[in-house]
Amino acid sequence: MINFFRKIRRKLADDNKPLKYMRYAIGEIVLVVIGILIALPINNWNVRKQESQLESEYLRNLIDDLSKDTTYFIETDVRFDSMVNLGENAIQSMYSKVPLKSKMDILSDYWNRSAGMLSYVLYTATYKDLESSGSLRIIKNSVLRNQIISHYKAYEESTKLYEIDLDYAQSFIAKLDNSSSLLKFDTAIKDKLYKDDALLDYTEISFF
Amino acid sequence: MLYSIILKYPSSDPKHELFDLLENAIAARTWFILAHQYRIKSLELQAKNMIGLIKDELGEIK
Repeated sequence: MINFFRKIRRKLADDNKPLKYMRYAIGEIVLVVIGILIALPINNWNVRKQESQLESEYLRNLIDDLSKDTTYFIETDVRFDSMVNLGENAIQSMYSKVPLKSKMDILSDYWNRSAGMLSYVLYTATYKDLESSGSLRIIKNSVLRNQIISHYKAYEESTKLYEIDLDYAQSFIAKLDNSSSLLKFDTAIKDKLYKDDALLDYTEISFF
Repeated sequence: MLYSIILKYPSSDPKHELFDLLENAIAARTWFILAHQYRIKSLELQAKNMIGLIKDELGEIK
């Protein structure tokens, strides 16, 4: 193709006919411009297609993250309900006249189970990736994009509040720890306590 | 921890400071749970709503 045009150009130049050569040159420029004008939309279409694929991939990953979060929220809600009931039982048991061992079991069970559930982990990897790489703009629907940003801002806010609340709740437990630290738990004493039938049957113990 | 309290104050004053502390600690944890539960219920609804919106958007992209 290039050789073909080169031959024509050389022929026109040799003929020494400037007007004809100019006509040819303009035609060649027009051809090049038409070529560029065709190539640009093709390139844009290709970029848009790639961005659209990337957008779909990110959105699917966001759905995965949000589904995991939803499962966590539902499970946590159920566990929280049971922990609130256990807490009520624990306080009631302190005043009741049930055997000492039962009281200790209820309180220990509450303490161990409630301590184990005080974690708050949300799946934010996809959003963080979108945010840190500056790829949020590939979500073309601006309304959706803003809603996603607001949702994850709400996550951040809830995490901050969670940490503040947790510190506050833990401060009571720290006081309890400090007050009871004079006498550390001793397995041997615990065993003796459990084996001592007289002590276990002693339901008049008013503190526990 | 609980056992140590029991051993230190086996049957003495039921209104002892430790008794209050224990009750307060349980109450504080319950309060924390309720506050957090309220928030996660709201976030759960938001997350479900977001899933719906994103699925709609994916339908449009296809």
